[in-house]
Amino acid sequence: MPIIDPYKVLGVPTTATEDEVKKAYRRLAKRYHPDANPGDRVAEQRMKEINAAYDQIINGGGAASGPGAGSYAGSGSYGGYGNYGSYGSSGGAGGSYGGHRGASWNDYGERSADPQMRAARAYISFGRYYEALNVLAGIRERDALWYYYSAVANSGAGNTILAIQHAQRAADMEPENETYRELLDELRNPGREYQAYGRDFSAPFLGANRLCGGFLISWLLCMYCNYCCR
Amino acid sequence: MFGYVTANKKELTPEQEARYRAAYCGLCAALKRRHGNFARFALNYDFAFLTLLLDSLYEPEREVCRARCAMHPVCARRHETSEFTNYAADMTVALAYHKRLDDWRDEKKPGARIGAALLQKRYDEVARAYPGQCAAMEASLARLFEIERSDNAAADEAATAFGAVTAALFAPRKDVWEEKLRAFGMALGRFLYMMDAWDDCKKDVRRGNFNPLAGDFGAPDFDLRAKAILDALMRECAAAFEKLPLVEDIQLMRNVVYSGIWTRFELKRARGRRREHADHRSV
Repeated sequence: MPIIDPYKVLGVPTTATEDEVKKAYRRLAKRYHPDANPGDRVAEQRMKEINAAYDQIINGGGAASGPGAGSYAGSGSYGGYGNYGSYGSSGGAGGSYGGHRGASWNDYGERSADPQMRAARAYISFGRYYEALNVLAGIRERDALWYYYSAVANSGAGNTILAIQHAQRAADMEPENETYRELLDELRNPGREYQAYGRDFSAPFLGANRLCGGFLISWLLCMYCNYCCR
Repeated sequence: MFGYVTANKKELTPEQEARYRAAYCGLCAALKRRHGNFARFALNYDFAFLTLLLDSLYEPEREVCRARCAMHPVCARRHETSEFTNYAADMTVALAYHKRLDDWRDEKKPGARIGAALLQKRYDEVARAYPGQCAAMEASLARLFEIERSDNAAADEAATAFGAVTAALFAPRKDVWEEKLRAFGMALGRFLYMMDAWDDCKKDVRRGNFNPLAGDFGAPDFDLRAKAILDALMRECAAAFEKLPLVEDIQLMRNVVYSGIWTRFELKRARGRRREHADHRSV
């Protein structure tokens, strides 16, 4: 459901900061929440619009709703490959998440002799990452190219950890291969939003836990005391 | 959880620090009030953060009082309590109970068994009050146990199984916020699982337990490799965090998400470097 102007729906200027958008969304969500308007069809519809507008702004024009718990479960719900076509345009703070799916794919190793590897390659180029992973799992001989394919497919399937580990493995096996190195760099640093925010803070204070130092001792002391600490 | 979700205290403004302490003290007092003094042992910053997050999202009525305690016997501390403080206290007990059960099952620590037994009654109460959360917690931890013992345990599957626990913890209600809260809880849990894996890697390798980072253990750049993964996971977590329409205490929570969460990592690395340095000198 594409919205012409999500800012209009939320009633904020297009120059609004992210925090202003959040404020406006909160206000409207409270007013039109289904619990506050039981059975009101108009309010329900309005709430849907507000949600969609908010998601659109926060996701930076992104497509899918947030990475719900189900998305991780390997349910194959990423069939909506086209959703990620807009990678280049994602701008908001949430952009890096959506864009993370499916690392850029240099159609590499096309002359691989192994028909299974060719199949994996074909699946990846069509964005069918789960099928690619299935094929890859059946291959016993695992060279650097296998790890490269696996990294790309895992990245597409949302398996962030394995994607990085296998890209690392490919780069370790063939350190001079630029394609492998580039993939690793991309997976390690897909967007800068996190670091940009992080720059607002200095390195964590070593010893922050002193806020409750000595807690254990006092806990032992007050185990049987019921006069203080209400 | 593991106490990783702390703030970078150096960067807190006095107001933020006061709020953070008050939420923490409120949680501690709620633990005692609801579950007895023993339960306070389970107090940790992760759940103080949960309180902040839910308070900010739902803006419930907050009760404020000042009270002394054994930790702070002279100066009375400000306690801030809301319905979510109580919720967080209950979840603290639930997770502490499961943590001890796991420790008993994995490492046969007698202390863990005793701890679990002491928390048993409290946990049963919590499970009655929040059947959804506790059922999800039990199912996910059982799944994690299974994954960690299978022959081809995959890192992402294990992290996601743990993430399902935190996803359930972070979503107390079935409402419009549920999906976004669950997404954040899932991403945070996946990060915490890997952070814990990094923290325990040496021990796990020695004992032959599953650890998703074991493959790189011993590499000269082990910490950097782990950091690359943790960074990627935390980036996803921060993206899910920013999708929540939070206004109140947002800077305080950003401090945690963008900086404080690395406290343990930086602390341990600094210690490791100091030790290396000392070793060099003694050689």
